[in-house]
Amino acid sequence: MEVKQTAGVAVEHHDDHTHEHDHHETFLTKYIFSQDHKTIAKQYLITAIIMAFFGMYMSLIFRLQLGFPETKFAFLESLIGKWGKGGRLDPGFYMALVTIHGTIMVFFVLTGGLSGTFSNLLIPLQVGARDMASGFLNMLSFWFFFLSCAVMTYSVYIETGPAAGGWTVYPPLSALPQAMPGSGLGMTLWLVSMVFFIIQSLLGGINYICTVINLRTKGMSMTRLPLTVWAFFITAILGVLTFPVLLQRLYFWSSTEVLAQVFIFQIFLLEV
Amino acid sequence: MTLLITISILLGILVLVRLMTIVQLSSELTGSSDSQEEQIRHNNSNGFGFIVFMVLGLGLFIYMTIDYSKHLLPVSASEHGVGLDKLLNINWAIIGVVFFITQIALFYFSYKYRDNKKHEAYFYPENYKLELIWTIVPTIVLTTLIITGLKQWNGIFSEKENSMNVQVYGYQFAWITRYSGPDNTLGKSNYKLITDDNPLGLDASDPAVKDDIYTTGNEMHIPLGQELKFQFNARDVIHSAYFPHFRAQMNLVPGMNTFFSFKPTITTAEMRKITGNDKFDYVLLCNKICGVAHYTMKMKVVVDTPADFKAWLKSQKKASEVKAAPPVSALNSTVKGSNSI
Ligand SMILES: [Cu+2]
Repeated sequence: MEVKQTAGVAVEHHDDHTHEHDHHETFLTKYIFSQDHKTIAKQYLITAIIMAFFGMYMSLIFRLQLGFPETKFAFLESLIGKWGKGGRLDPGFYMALVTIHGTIMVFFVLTGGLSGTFSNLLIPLQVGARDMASGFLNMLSFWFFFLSCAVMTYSVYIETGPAAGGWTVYPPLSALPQAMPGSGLGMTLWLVSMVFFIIQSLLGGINYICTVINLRTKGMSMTRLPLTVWAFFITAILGVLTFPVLLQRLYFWSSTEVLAQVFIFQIFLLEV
Repeated sequence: MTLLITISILLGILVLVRLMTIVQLSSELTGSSDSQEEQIRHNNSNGFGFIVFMVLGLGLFIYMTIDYSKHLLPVSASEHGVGLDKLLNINWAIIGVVFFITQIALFYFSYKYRDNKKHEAYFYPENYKLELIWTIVPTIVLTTLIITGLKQWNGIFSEKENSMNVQVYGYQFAWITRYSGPDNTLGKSNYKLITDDNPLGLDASDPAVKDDIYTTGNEMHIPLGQELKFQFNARDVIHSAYFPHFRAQMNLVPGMNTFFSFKPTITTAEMRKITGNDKFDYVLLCNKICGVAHYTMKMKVVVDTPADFKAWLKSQKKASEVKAAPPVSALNSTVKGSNSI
């Protein structure tokens, strides 16, 4: 009897599991490559906060220079090496810090961090959907964001310094290494990072739009949507409309920088 | 060093992950046991916090507005700037009043209508009259402001009579100013002609170039009461010519002509009296990141009486001293060797 009972319980338990897929998840699928909108929202939040601290630490350094232009800060040399020789911030690296600080704050914290975190967390909850329209795209969107953050962070540590032409990267200053050293490899990495960033923004945006249009619960008409969801919705539409244009421009620009030598070589071969 | 930073970042992430799990575990263990009284106490302290925050925030706002006003620019030294300042002040007044009303309402209502079991929430979904009012009033105010601003803008960019043509030329990292001379025409220039002796690339074969005069030092003079039409050109990257005391700014874009006109109304000597600063000088600054030494791109601007201006102009370099351009065929071969952008 006892054996039968436990078997029965076990079977029931098993039944439960087949109904709720979410229970048998490994650490990898639950916390790293999660397709759950709440976890992805947290991933966005944590990544954006880390980037925000990174950006803040940069602004601390360049504001020290602004506030106390005559003072020498000995710790700068140990902190940023050759850019802080003798405790004075290098003028070129000052520009680089301002540029990367601006980029991080505008794109990674305000655009990616806020929209990625709150759209992901709140849209399904407030429209009454189980999850986003595509959990997989959502996961992909976060990992493109992560990749973009990683490339941008990496670009700070290269020898010629990161992009330094201001976060608006107006050419020709940002396009020609002759104009400033940061416009070489630093700018290329900046462009690559931004291409990844825009891909994540597009994937996220399409997902938010689909969820708001298609996955509202019964009775939740567009006019009854909370204002927050309307705000996310419009933000996503604007992003999807504008970012492809920027992506195209950045893609061509970065490919001319990255692939220029390859193409020139091919043309050379054809001509010969 | 890089390794250390990487390790510290990784450790930071680990700490965050551990913290997350601790928070999750503790919330599972404690469950929700908040009693009503506890919640009311919580609401009371938060409501009080709102009031403290409002008083502190608005107090600091008032204090800083007054204390930092000594760092503001002195009175406008150009004719159009007076109108711009007036428009800006009207904007500040409107924004300031609205700011105080909305902030006080936001914080005070959060305090007053906190949940303390004395009153019940009242469901008040819509009031079309109220919504119409708070849509139409801002619309009218904003439209008026925009139209007034547009009028100012059109005034600034309208063609003026008897204006003197002046070129402001920017490159990494300095300025050159060129005056058009008696014919009031800026002669042709070409970037291919730029040499150490001819920094503007003036084309000596153009007769209009002959009477042009350009600055060699880091100082430009302009005559009082003379309408000036500035033409802006850049050699290498985008710069921005910013005359803060004249309320004027315009980008310099390589390969393009941009313009801005203004009429100086206060001489440097008079402005020194107004500001009470014997060392005061007008400046021309670069206001667009243009490279490593962007911060050094600065020129002293002196507003002279017309007589003093004429005398100063004689001390500057005459374009007629620039050698005639070499023939075109020779030109092409020299271009390849030069590294001008
Ligand atoms: Cu400049």
